[in-house]
Amino acid sequence: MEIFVCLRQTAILKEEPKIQPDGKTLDLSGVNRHLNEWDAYALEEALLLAQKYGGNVSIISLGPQEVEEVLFYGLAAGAKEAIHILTPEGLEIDNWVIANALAQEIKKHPFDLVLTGAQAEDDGCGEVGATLAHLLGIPHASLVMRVVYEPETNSLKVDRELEEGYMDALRLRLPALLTVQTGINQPRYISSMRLRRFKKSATISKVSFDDLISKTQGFLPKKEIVKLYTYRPDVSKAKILEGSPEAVAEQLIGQLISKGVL
Amino acid sequence: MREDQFVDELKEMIVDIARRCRNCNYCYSVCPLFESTRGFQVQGPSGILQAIRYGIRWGELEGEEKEILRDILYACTTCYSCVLKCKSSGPGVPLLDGIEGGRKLLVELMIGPMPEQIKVLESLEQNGNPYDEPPSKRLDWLRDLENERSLSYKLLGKGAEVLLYVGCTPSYNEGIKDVARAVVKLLEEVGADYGILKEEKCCGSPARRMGEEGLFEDLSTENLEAFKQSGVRKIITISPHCYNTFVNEYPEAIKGFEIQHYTEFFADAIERGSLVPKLRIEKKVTYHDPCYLGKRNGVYDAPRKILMSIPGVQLVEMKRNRDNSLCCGGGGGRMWIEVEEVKRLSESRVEEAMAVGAEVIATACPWCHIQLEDAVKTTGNEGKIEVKEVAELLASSL
Repeated sequence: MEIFVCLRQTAILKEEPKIQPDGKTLDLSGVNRHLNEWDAYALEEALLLAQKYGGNVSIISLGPQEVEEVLFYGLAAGAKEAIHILTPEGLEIDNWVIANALAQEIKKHPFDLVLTGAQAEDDGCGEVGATLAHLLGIPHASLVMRVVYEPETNSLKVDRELEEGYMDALRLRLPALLTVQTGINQPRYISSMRLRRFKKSATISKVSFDDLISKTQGFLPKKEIVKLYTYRPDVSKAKILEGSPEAVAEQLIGQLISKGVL
Repeated sequence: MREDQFVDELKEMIVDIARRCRNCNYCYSVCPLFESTRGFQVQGPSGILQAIRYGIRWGELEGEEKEILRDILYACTTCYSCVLKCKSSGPGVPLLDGIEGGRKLLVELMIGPMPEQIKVLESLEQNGNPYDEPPSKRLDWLRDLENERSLSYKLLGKGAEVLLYVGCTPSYNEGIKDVARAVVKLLEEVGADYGILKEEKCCGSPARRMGEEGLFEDLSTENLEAFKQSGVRKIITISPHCYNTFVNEYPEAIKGFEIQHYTEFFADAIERGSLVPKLRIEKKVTYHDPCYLGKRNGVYDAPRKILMSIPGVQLVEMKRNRDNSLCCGGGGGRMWIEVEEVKRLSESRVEEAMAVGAEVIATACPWCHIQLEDAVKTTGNEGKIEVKEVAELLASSL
């Protein structure tokens, strides 16, 4: 089974980020980045499938030079080949264009299965996977929690996570695309030494974004961020109720009635 | 170094240590893991060592049983009792080097660490602490104290004689921040010329215990550089884990600094007369020896000297003390994992303290403190006995 996994590098927002003066973007200078959490699960699932059913895992990522970090991580984890679609610095694109660029490159290679994370932890859109499946013209299942390969029909049996503990069992004929939910597996830990060794010795194939996508092809962003803003609940009004459990419960009910909640 | 070479060297080292073990099993008599679990062969020092040895020999590192092997290796508390026992009654096999070497091997082969420890290692790498806390909040505990009183510390690198290396748990854990504040109050009392790093990072001990050698190297290199930049001559630690790491595990350059645990520093101050406990604490106190201070480094007397210098304190010893002390169960990366135990070590320890009529369990380690405090609650002894850090008791007697 030839498997492609799309990896995205996302910012680690431990410290509260500031909104840039343009009101549309975050100031991410000095912020550490890592492999998107959902993508780590997708990568692990690909490696487990290849180990169980045979085949190769290739990884692909799009972005500026620093995106190499997640590709080295994927190679250290066990991927056989890495492709970096190198974008010019400061390029502003949306998920539609990202999916188009990924589709253009993936089409050049043989593949049975494409995996992405269900969403990115920074923008939370969950768009690239479904769009990419559409562009590749293959079936797609989202929020996947279990994958079993059925060789006799060359298809996958997958379980999707629904709300309230319900699951959805589907069968997809290959080639197909799955967007993977966290918790499907336990991603392996890549040690610092192992990562260092791969950074020194592994190779990444470079593809120019401009060669894949040009404005003449009509792949222009279809969305723009109008405004980025924060909603901050007023925590200064929080009140700690004290006393015995009975007294606290009585005070709480009194407060809820006085505020019109009850 | 090639991957194969590093892995091969680790395997060779482990097999060599395991080969030297005579399987006399004397180490089982002092092993807290063996005592607290169902007592299978692989729940004791030489059994763990032989498990990784045969894992290597029989190719189980690639097999389906590799996760069982991982669980066996990561259950060890790394308390050092087995090494001491082996030295006292045999040739002195470095059992823990073999067990920790096994963890390094498993991490390198992407089998380790334990799943719950992965986030810890990621946080160490990203935030410089194991608690997934932002670096910007590391000095919040100090700000709180500054609101109460003026302090004379220097935010290094401005230069000071002594560096207080606070450590991650006293910096971030709500229940342990008071220990850091107590140590600062004591430093103020003795008039120490002391500083605190502006951007302190974890000493790296948790990384090493979990087998993440590369991350340990990164953190130790960064810390050593920060120490050099600060211009200090002496470093005082709050946690015995940081202390042990600096003294026994850091690169050679650390020898340019005098390292002391805070109990040693303040015991000296009391002996010199520059620190005089005055207020009476009328309590029966027992001292729990942290493994990384006692068994690993032989610091048994300094904390006891401090406790005995506090007027009113009646120091009583538990049945097991000093190099025979029972581990609290929090070392070796176990703060973040759940090991199946018949009886929790920390609960056994609280019961030992209760048995000698202690009202206070004094300790000198943030992790022992947390473990024992939890055990006081789970054994239903809240209100009967309390856990205090030696520094807290000393500070409250000034």
